[in-house]
Amino acid sequence: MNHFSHISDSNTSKAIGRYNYNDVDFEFLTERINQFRSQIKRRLNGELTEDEFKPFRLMNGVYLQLNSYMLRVAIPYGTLSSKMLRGLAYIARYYDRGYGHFTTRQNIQFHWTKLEEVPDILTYLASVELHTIQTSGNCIRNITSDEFAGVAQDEILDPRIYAEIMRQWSTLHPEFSFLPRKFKIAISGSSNDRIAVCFYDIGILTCLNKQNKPVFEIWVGGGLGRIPIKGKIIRNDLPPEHLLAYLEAIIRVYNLHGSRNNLYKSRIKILIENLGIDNYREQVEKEFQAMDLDQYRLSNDIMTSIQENFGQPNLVDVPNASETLKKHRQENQAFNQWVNHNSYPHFHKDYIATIISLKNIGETPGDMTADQMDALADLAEEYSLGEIRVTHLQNLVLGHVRKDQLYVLWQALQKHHLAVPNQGLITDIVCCPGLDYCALANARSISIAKKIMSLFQDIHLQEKIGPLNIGVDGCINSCAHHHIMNIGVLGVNKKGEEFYQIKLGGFSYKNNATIGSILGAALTMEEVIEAIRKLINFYLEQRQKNEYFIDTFNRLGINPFKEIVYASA
Amino acid sequence: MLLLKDGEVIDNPWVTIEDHLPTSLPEYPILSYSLLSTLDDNDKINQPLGVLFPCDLDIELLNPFLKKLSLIALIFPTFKDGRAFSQARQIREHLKFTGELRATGQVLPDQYQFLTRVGFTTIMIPEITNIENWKENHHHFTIGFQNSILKEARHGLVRKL
Repeated sequence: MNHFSHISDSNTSKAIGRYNYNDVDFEFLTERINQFRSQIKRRLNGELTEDEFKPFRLMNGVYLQLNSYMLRVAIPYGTLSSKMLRGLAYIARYYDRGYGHFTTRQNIQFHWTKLEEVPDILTYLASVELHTIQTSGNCIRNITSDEFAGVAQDEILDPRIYAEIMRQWSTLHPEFSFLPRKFKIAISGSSNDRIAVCFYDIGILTCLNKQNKPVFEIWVGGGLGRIPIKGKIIRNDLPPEHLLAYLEAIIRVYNLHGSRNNLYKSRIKILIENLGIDNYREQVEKEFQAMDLDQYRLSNDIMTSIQENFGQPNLVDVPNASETLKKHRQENQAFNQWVNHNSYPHFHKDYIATIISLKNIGETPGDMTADQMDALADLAEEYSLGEIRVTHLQNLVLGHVRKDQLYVLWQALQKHHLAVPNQGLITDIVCCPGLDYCALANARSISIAKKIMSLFQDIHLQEKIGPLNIGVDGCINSCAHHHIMNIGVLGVNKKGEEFYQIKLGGFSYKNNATIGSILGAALTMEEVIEAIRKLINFYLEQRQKNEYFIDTFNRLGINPFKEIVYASA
Repeated sequence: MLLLKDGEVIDNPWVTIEDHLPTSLPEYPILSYSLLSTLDDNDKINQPLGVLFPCDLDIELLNPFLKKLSLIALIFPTFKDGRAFSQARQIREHLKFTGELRATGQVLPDQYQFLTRVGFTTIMIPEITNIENWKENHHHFTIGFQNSILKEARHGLVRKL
């Protein structure tokens, strides 16, 4: 009946933390791939012009880059199974150059694919329940979520169920596939922001209302790029059952009124800036009230039917797990250091989540080789219930590791260079592909990131510096979030030469969300590395007890930092 | 131009009038919205009437004329401008319009199911076009993830096998 029915064999247990496809889902992907195959054919025989073909190519995740076609694969709400990760390894090995690049939106990119091979790649991806649908184009993009979903102690509801509902609802949405511009949605099941909620077209957090019922706090109109804007709350008490109706209302108002004639003014953030949030809210509420809410209601039947397709983790009580971990930490300093930096508490007392850093000194941030993918897929199967999460900071997470097994896992990760103890430290740099790959870039970003990482490679120095994030962008589109990083580096083009602007004081998360300030005139690559060295030294001299870089910066203001970098010039 | 309905080319009896009102209307006139809105007393019109409605106006403006309208034509200035998709749904779902909803301007065969699923019933397409593409795209997807105006059996968040 379909090509993939062997995969959905009901005897195999369901992958945890994500929606498992049924025959209808596979059939849909087959129809989608066949459509794209025919679009490529029509493009090649001239029936479609490049202008007509481009939106369809983009909505299938295919970009034309500097060297070749890039294929962007969605990892919905950042959850992979071991089988999916092996599938990605296969693509990397046989259709690319042996590696893939994780992005800041829970996607993975393959930078060296051939257009004519794309339908075959898509067919292979479909067999492991992956697709590239709407990873680009002026439509609703991959729905992202909290990498600690289903793990975090502060979680009110599992955001992945709602993220999956939004994934399905937004897939080939008949009304919203030709929006003024791209549209990005992120959701967390907690009220503590781990998703940078203020910087999405729509960001969703979960709170408890006075009756102790979960409600969504909906942020709209945030974004980075050329005009960085912090979003606003449009509604703080949305009952989850009305999620889709409310999203339709928000996006319908945008689709009707967003700018269509200026690329730089066509995001929802600009519309909301122009109208004002109160006016926008009024229009959305009017639309919402006019809708037949029953048609959109997330009934118990719908919730159950989606939830039933999610595998549930089987967590067991493990006698002495915490004591065993404690003992391992005492016995091995390097292990202890890794646990200090790269772990996150689990709601179950005998489990822990661990962050797999993809920020190896000397390597491109976010890159992973096919061999590493295969190795991690095996380790996830053995130690974390076969589930891997992708973070919005280009790292991976194993969510459900037994505390007594963490040490063995660490030893195994080390063999594959996957145990770098730098999560949240200065070498955990977020970096876009930049001018090495991207057609939009003004300057190289990977070389800058590598140089900074190498400058601070001493782990003791990194620990002394403490939590600090750096984002390096090759252009103003800000894929690496430089606007909202403590230190942001932006590549600019000055008369054909690569220069770099520094931004300081950015912060990504709700309570202190801040867009960084420009430090001064753009610098050359060598100068920017030297400037960062000076900035860090200055901070180390000036900081007071328990201060992180961002605290010292906020206390002193930008001027002393500016002097340090530009005074001698 | 050709008129397409359910993937087939059909006759188009309608005549579009955009510039000024003739002394007597043809049998099946589509008036531009600006002409329609100048009609002193549309109650006096006792014949089929259509309107060509721009994509940058609020569909609420059609309310006073709704009872008289047999056809509403919406405009896609380019296939990338999706405003008329939202207008179509508002016309079907808020105004409860049940007559012919026509897509005009530039649309591509690949958009056919998007069009029908938001409520369009007919599409104007250029004559130099490969009809087979339209026919194929009219029913290419048998599965969809949203409920739509068409109430298809295999569509929605809970899909039947």
